[in-house]
Amino acid sequence: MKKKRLIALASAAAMLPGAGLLMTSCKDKANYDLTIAFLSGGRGETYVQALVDAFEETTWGQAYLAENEKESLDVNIISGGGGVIEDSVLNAINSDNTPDVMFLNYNMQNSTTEAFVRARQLVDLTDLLEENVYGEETSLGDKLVPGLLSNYTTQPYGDGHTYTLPAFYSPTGLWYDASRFYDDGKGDEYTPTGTGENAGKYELPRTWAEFWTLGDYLNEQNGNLANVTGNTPALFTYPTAGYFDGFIYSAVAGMAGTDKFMQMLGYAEGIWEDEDVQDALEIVVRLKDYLEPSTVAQANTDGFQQNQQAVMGRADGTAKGTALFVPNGDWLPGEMANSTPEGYEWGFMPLPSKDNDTMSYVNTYLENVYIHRNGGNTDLAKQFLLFYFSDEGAAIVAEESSAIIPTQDALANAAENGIAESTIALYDAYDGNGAVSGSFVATDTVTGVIWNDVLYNDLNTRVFGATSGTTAELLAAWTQRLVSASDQLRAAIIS
Amino acid sequence: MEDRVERLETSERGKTGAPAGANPVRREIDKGKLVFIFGTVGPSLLLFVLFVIIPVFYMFYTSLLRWDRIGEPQFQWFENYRVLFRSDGFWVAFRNTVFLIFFVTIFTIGFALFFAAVLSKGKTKGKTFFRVVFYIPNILSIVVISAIFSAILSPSYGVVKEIANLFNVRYTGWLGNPDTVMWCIVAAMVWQAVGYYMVMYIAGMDSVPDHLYEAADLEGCSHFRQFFVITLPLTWEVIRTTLTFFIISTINMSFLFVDAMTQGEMNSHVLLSFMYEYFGSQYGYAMAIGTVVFVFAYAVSLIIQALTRREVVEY
Repeated sequence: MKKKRLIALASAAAMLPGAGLLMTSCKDKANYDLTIAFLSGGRGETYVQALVDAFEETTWGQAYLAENEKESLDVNIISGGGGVIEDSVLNAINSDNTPDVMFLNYNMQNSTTEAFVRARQLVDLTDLLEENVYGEETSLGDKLVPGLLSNYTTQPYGDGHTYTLPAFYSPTGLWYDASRFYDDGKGDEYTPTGTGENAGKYELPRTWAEFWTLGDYLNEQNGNLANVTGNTPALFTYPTAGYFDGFIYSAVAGMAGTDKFMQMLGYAEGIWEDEDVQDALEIVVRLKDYLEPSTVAQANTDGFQQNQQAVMGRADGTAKGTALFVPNGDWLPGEMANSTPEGYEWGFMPLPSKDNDTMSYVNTYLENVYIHRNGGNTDLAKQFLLFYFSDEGAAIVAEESSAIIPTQDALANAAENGIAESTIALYDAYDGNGAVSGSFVATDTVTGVIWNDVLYNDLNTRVFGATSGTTAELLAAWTQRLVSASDQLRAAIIS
Repeated sequence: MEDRVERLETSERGKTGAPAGANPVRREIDKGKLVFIFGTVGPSLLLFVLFVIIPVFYMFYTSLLRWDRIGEPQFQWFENYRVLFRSDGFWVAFRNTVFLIFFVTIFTIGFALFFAAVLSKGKTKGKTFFRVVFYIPNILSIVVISAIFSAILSPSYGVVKEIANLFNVRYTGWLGNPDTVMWCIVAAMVWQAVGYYMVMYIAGMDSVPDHLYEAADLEGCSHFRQFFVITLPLTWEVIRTTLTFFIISTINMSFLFVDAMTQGEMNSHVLLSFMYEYFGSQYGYAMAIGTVVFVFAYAVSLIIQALTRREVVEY
């Protein structure tokens, strides 16, 4: 009896250490010189560590060490892919180790960046723009590619104060199989297919009218999408509806001009019913009639690469792609490298323009870097950023991430820094075209409203996957959703 | 310690013999017992309170907040619920959840019972082999199963597409059609669960005494009828228990399947995947959905318990 009871008590007591362990608070704040969080993935895993190592050797790094009587910088680097990094950052904040520097973007799963903006937790970097980047006599503001700061991404409150800096920038637009097209340039008479040396190729459409002409020609060939094959392709596919963000921004800027584009980003009243904006939205809805038929079923995390493959054809090169254009960013060739047919060449163009006399607009996808107010090492963090945007920093990022940071010199030195020709060529998209960067003004959360879903994520289900409804009806329903959501968001703009 | 245990022992002996009114001794007994009871029950009670009771109440509380987990939380009473019940997305997710509970349960239990009946008492050849085969899906991870079904259903390279091609039928992917997408999820969930419940029912059916079937055979009762008059009533308690399990697990599992197969595209959200949409950016709203799921799951299991209550057949 005695023994049994002792065993019972002992085994019950054995549960306690487990509970105790879980309850132990891990709030021992470590004293790091700098904590940096970054989203690993498209830009690789190594660039932050390489930057930190180099920064430690700079005169600034050495001065900091001498001042604090330290041997080496104690830098805490938090990294993770999308879906992981945001939780890691939240955990770090909750355990009082808020990162100083964060390379995170808008529109991530948990909207972490938006939440920092909403809570006004980011350090105002406006003054930093006046300071010289490391080792040079150029100020950060002059160093950056012009035009990247006047948007709601970098100035989320629209008050002229800069809170996030563009860490990476890339043009988004339409990608295609270069071997299937020839380019007669804008303004020449358009024919869907070429003759002579261009026989068997399609002419690259430069205006929306040309784009639809090509689409109608293709639909004639493929029996209105009933028989889409490598030889009779459809006009268009998209990886997931999320890729319509840049598409919509470019289309609105192109069809309605930059003034209305900026009004749209500020949720201006009546903007969605504006005739020109409606024209832009109609382009999106109209794509439904030219869409590669498998697209909708594959527009999810399992299938989106199949949609991208649809532009490339079979990986073994035995069949051409079943779609001609896909909207995407500069990471696409790298992402699809494993299934790229031999000798395949990517083509890239901005969205078609309204007509022959107007510009196309390239949407620039900005990835951000910012400093959090509660990190505790703001001064060193600022120096780190000034180092990042220096030519030395640009060379390191080029080496580690094969990416061009948004300074004018980084683009000029890209070839020297070992960036691939094809990547540098992408930035030609800005030549002769307008540039916009889509990001909406900061608002408080509106319960139940996820703006990105209304604007583009829902398109797959509500427009392209809809089993009934004409183009006009689908457009009207979408407009209605946009109006209702932006009415609520307008009332919640942070002023 | 020694001393206390000593007293415990005395008290055991004294239980029957001690005269009424021997108060000092009795108090000692109770104290000793209390220490023992709390010693054994306490830790698990503590864990239960810590990891079940408190989180549930915390969920109720946070469901009244507007909070993104980074800024300051704002208390706003039942605003989250008001918005929730007026949201189309919520009702779609609710409808889908009920749809899955209904059809997945019917098909899974139906198939599981059928296979169990065939494989338990029957003299089917390769019985063990089939038991193993049916059970395999259950040990695969949900992500693997979803990948298998996504591959089968792929409009680019799936088996379904090839079969459709044979008959010259155009196939553009059932996962891309709001009319078929839920059935695809039903199929994957049923395929995953049948083996597990089959094993449970086999265990239940094997415990039914053989002589009942022998007697039925002598009376000329068909095997089909035997199933309904002997097997089913005698395994009813097992079925009833699994039914409750099953409904709760369908609510949970549907999230994994939807998350892996469709991410809610084509109006295929279920309550938990719908909740997860808001988890990061609108934590309070997500917890309001969580509360609804909690109440709903509880209510459904109570209803099922009530509906299936019948006298236990003794044998």
